[in-house]
Amino acid sequence: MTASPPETTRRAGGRTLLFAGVVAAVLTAALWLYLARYDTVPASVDVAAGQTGTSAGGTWRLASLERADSIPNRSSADEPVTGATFVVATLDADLRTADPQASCSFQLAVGELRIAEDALVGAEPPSAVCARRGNGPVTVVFEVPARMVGDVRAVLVDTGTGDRPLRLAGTLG
Amino acid sequence: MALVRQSLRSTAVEFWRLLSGTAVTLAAIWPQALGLLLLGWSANNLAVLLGTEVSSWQPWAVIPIVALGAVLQLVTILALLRAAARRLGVGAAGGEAGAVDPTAGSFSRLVAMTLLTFLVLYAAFGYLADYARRVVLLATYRKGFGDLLGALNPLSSPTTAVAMVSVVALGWLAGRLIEPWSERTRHPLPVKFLGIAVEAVVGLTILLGVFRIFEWLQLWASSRVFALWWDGARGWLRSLLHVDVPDIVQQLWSGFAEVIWPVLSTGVLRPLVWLAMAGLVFGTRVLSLAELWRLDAADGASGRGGMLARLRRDDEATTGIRAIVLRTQAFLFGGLDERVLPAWQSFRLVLRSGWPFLGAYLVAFTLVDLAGHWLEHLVIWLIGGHDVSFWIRVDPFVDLVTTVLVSTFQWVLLAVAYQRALGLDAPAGFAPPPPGRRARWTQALTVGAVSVAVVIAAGLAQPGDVEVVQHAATNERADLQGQRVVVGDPRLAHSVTSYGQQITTDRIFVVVPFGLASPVNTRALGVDVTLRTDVRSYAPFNGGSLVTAAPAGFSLVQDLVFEVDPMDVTASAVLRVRPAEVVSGTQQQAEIALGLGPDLVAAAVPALDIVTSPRKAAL
Repeated sequence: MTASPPETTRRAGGRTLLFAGVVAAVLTAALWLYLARYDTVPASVDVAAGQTGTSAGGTWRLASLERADSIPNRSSADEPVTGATFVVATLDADLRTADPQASCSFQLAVGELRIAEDALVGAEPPSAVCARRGNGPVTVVFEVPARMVGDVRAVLVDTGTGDRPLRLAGTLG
Repeated sequence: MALVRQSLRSTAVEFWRLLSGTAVTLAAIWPQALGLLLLGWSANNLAVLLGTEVSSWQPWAVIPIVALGAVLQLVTILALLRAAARRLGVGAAGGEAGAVDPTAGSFSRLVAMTLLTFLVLYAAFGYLADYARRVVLLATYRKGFGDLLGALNPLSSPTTAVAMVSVVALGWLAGRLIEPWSERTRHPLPVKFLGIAVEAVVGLTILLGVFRIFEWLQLWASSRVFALWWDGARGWLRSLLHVDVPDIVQQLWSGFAEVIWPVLSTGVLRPLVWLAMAGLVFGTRVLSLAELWRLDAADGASGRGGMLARLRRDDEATTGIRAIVLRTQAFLFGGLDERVLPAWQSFRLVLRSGWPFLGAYLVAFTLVDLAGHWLEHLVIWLIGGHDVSFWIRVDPFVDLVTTVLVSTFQWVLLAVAYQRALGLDAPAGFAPPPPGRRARWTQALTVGAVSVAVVIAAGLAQPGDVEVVQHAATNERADLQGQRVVVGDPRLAHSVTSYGQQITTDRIFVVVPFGLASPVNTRALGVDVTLRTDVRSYAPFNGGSLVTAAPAGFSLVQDLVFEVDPMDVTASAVLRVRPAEVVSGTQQQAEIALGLGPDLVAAAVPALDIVTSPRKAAL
């Protein structure tokens, strides 16, 4: 058995290790929580009202947000459920150079809620319009609780390619 | 009887010595112990984080990153054991020729000598698999399904399969070449570290991908003609003997694998193997077969020296085919010397320490392990039920509590125990074993029975999953991780009508109006609903137990229909509702008392129209 280092040296070494461990743990915890910040609210790219954003090679601009109590379809009209109303978003989209793998899905930011598009309402689902890879308006219908209509803030466009969704700011006209 | 009492007393004394020794040692080295385990925890979680971030654009990089994290965490454990060994004043063991005092030499040398065996045993107990599982879970949650596992699936493309098998084969070959290189080079320690890194990468490659090849082979074998032959042979044997021998063997095997083996492996084998692992740090020196060949001329007078001399003469005289076979054998299986022999010798030393010590150690280890599980259970219970995104964020911190607090105690206990096993804690040492074979058997059986009883009792005392359950009645709201549940008053009927079709039962239908609302966005698919009675659980008759989530800002109301045995329609029947998540942690659950009773069965209506399509309403 060899002589052990002096007690004071051991204590100093112990405190150094403890300090290093605490610092490492704090930094790791901070990094962990930082990288988890988008787990509940996914990150998005903010686009100011009236401006154009780019995602997966295509460009998007929120042209208008209108409220509607019914939406004409091929045979008659779709009505919202009791207590709800439709919000119709018209987007100017240029998808001629968009990524062939890109799709499009939409959400309406209503306060803290994200309300998905209602693809069954209206004459044609937005995804079909996107698939044509044209340059023109895309109409998206959202069914929103009537009492929340005043909280409409933006339309989110997700192209499904891994790019962050575009958040196109806008309010009801 | 006196022998039994003496055995129990000896065991109790050893138990007390272990716990008090651990407490005293821990009090002396707690700063470095805590610091080291915090460093190890950080390395582990940083590796998981970094692996997750790179998984979507470079999946193969996950393997070396996670391997590095695992190795670094093991290094901190070795450092802790070394610090405990120094505190306990442990030096070289056994006086073997060439023995090394691990507390005197450099730490890097200790790591290079022992980490490989540590890594193998760590992997054998599933810790590497746990690393792999964590990074796969986090990567799948954050980057999407299929990204990591899909990229590392050898069945997804021939290129991936060839690459994975190549990694394993080249890793094995590199391991065989690195060892002799480390003995010839002037810088052996970096080379040994390289060997350890290669082993970790190979292990993780197998855990993350190659196992699918074995699964595919199993599936392939089960679809071959000989699988039918086996079934046919079983049937013929059954008809011949009128007893399903294969089935009896299967049941016996199941009983062993599911009941006996977990107790043996977790409660008895694992603590002893961990103690043997600690022994690696305490410096049992094992001479490998290759080293025996390279020894200087041994003393032929002693039995051991004579054996060494004979081996050396045999080696020198070996020529021709036999020489090639021996060299090939050394090349192919020489790695076993590095991995298995040191641990095996350490294990043998432990087993010779006497029954009272072994029993006391098993009891101490089991109780500490049980305390750790209960501590984790308590922490989770205090935190309560939340959705998976919360648990993914919080999991490392729960792990921090259990890893740092419990593992610190466990590793120091191992160090103290190994010191006792070596009989190095003067002046007490061990009490001599009782004379006579009968006495020794009595001691062995007494201690063995007590230890196994404690292990089994600890197994039964393990905490189950934490259940966070809120209780409500019908027409009362229950909030479950962002979803809102309201259950209406149930109705009973002998038949139900849906879309004009009548369905009749000889039992009873319990029709429950079920409302589910989403006032906030939820990642859950909906809720899982079952009707529970004292005896049974029932899933809804009309479409499975999953009730799909309402769109954000809306509610859905529909009738859930349960076909129930009338005997189960009692006041204790409840609806159990929990969020339906693809991956879940501890969830909030709700139990809704339905207010049923036998009188309702008598008053059941002949038929009921039910609403099977969910009715949507705005919040």
